[in-house]
Amino acid sequence: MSEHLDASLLNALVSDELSEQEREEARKHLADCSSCTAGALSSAMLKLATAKAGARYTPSPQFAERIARQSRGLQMVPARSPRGAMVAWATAAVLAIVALTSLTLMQRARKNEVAAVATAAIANEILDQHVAALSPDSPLDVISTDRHTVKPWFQGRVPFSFNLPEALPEGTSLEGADMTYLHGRPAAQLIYRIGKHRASLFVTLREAASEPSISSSEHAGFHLRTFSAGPLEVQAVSDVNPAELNALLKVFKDAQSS
Amino acid sequence: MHWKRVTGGGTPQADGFEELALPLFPSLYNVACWLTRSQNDAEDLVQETFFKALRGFAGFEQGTNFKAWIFRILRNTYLTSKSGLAAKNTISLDEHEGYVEATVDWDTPESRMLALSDQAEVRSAMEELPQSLLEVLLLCDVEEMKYKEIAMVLDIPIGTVMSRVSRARGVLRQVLLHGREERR
Repeated sequence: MSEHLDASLLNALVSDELSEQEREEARKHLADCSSCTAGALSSAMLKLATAKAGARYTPSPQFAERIARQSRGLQMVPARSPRGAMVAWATAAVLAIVALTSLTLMQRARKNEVAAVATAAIANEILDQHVAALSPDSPLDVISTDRHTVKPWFQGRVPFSFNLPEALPEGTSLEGADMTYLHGRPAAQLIYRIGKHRASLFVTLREAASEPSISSSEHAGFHLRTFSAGPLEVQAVSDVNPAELNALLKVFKDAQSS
Repeated sequence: MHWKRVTGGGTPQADGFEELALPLFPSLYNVACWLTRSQNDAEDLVQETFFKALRGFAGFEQGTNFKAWIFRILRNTYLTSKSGLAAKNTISLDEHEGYVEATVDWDTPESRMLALSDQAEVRSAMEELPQSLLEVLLLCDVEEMKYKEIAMVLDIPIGTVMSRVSRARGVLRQVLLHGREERR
């Protein structure tokens, strides 16, 4: 190794990313080359300075507590109410019934609250992903109108398989697809053009214990649709008129059973 | 890279999540602050990341790289957030592709002594980096991730990680040198 070490190699050296043989060759070169030794030293010092300067922000204790609660499965621990030791049996029974009822109502409210938060978060995520895919700065992973190109592209990338419909409603065409993540699970995002509008269909593996679902909602001017097809769950979003979106979803759903 | 789905149980399982995720919370928050440049947005980003990670935890293959997995969720969540999209629209990710590290003269006192810059100077220089270079430095130097882990988080080949780390340090060095020259 007589020529100077390139910058990538020097940086890999200070990051301890070279193989044993590469490291040995680099060491031999550094022993005879003051310029590369200075470069390695500069990179090592810069790495150290970045590590120190980069560890900059610390979360507040309140936020840390909120995250810790969330990590325990979004469950709140109810505070215990003090009880007098000499409470009469009758009063205790009444209190117990009231407490039980309150607890049930609180749990139901909490479940509803969690479900509402979860639904809103998912809707936001789907919308964000759809808008992101339409951004000109965010090219699709695979751009093709050919279903025989798009479907095989997902092999080995998502842990499930799905069919793409051969015949699409008039004015609808496949544009391409993205590999993405929806609520932390791998998802195939299929982009269709319907007239001048676009629709995203997110295909994921349905959670094993969840019931097959079908739902429809509106969010920030977009139509959101969800349906199950065998082991798959499909979530769709578009601002096209609902009839045209439904027509696409019908052929997509039919294709899964063919 | 693959995230295998675990069959059986179907509801999100919190068992073990807390032990794996909470130690990474300060790091996730730090990186989120750097990316969003706002502590409020960072809190939203981290909270959403934990929410998604908890929901998807049943699909995480135990024994594989949890740190890379949850950082990937953080980054993907950031990229699709309003601040992430805004950053993407204002900064070209490849604007420094043409940077040539070979133009740096290593053997100067400035090059050798850059690390003696005070932390405020380095932080200020880091703030000037485009997101694609900043995130690779945060993962490599602050989080001490291996190139293989960074490749998993950013979903890019290891060779690209290698060149991007090099480019990031080169641009950071130039920003620091430029700032030093201006103060003279």
